[in-house]
Amino acid sequence: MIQRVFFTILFFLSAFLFPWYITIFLGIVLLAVAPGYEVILGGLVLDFIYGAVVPSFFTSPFSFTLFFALLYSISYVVKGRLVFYKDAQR
Amino acid sequence: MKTNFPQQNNFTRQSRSRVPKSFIVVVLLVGVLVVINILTLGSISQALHSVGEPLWKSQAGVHHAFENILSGFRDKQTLVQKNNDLTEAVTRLELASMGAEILQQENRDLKQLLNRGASGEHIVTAILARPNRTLYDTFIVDVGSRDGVTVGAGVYGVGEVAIGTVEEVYARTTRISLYSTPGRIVEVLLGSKDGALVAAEAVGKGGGNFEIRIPRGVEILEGHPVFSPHIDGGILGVIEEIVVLPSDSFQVVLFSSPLSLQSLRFVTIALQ
Repeated sequence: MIQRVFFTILFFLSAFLFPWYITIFLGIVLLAVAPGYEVILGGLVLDFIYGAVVPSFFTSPFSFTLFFALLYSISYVVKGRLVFYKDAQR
Repeated sequence: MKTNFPQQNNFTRQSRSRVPKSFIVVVLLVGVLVVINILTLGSISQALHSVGEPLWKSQAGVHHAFENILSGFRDKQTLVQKNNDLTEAVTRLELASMGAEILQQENRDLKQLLNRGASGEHIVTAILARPNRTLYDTFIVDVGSRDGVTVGAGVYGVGEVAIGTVEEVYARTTRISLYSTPGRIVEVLLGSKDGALVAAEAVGKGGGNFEIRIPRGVEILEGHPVFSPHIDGGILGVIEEIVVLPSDSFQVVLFSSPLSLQSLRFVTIALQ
């Protein structure tokens, strides 16, 4: 629980202060230590702050929200296939 | 012999197909927040910018403090050498700017004669967050609607280098979308070998880089500037490389902004 709170705070702070690759790394860490659906909200925070229409990203200003939703879905499936994750951690 | 294998989690066929409730709740929450943000004209973005502003300002303060501390440890000989180099560069630039000032004045006078003078008012602003923060190629700066900034206004770096336009304005902060945003198309003028200007469309490649595809017949030179076709549009970049493939009837012109977007500290925004 402490781990989850710590990485959640760090993840949301990184959305404001650190480059995007560090935020993504912290998002992956958060997904590893907790169910981690907070990452989708983190993606939304990134998009609300910095998001712009980028023609190369399918003209979506919500690229990070979509990316983290996809990451969460992948982590949910992967965790289900790993023996050391209990259902509660998924 | 009996071996104890670790118990597999309760991952049944039923739970595999089930979408977790928490995920559905978060997706619904995201949807509601997006709708609220659109309906309230970006009130959530505004609130997040208000939270971010003190964080960005304190981060910049810490960064400068560390820079000052580290500068004390630099080698004296290196500093003397750097000082000499910079003094020389300043002298050279002063001489160059004398000529540029005369040309700028002449340019302003001619535009006034043609009744096309720009308002000329710009506001200087500090950059709070730069493109490395996300992949969006956006700047966040510390002026907003209360300073008279409006959506669509031009944004310039040092020496009237055009870098982007205002995308979103909040009370105390502004989001700037760079011309080099990946996939963004910008109208440009580039000088050909015979001195004539050629109109073309440049496509942003991110980080201050652009690409133009023009017919091979047009003779372009590396090192030439690329301009915006608008009055007071400024310089967009300098041609870095021209790629000509024998199999292609077009040539690819690669150019980039003369400013380093990562080391830029201030920009100016045109007030309309």
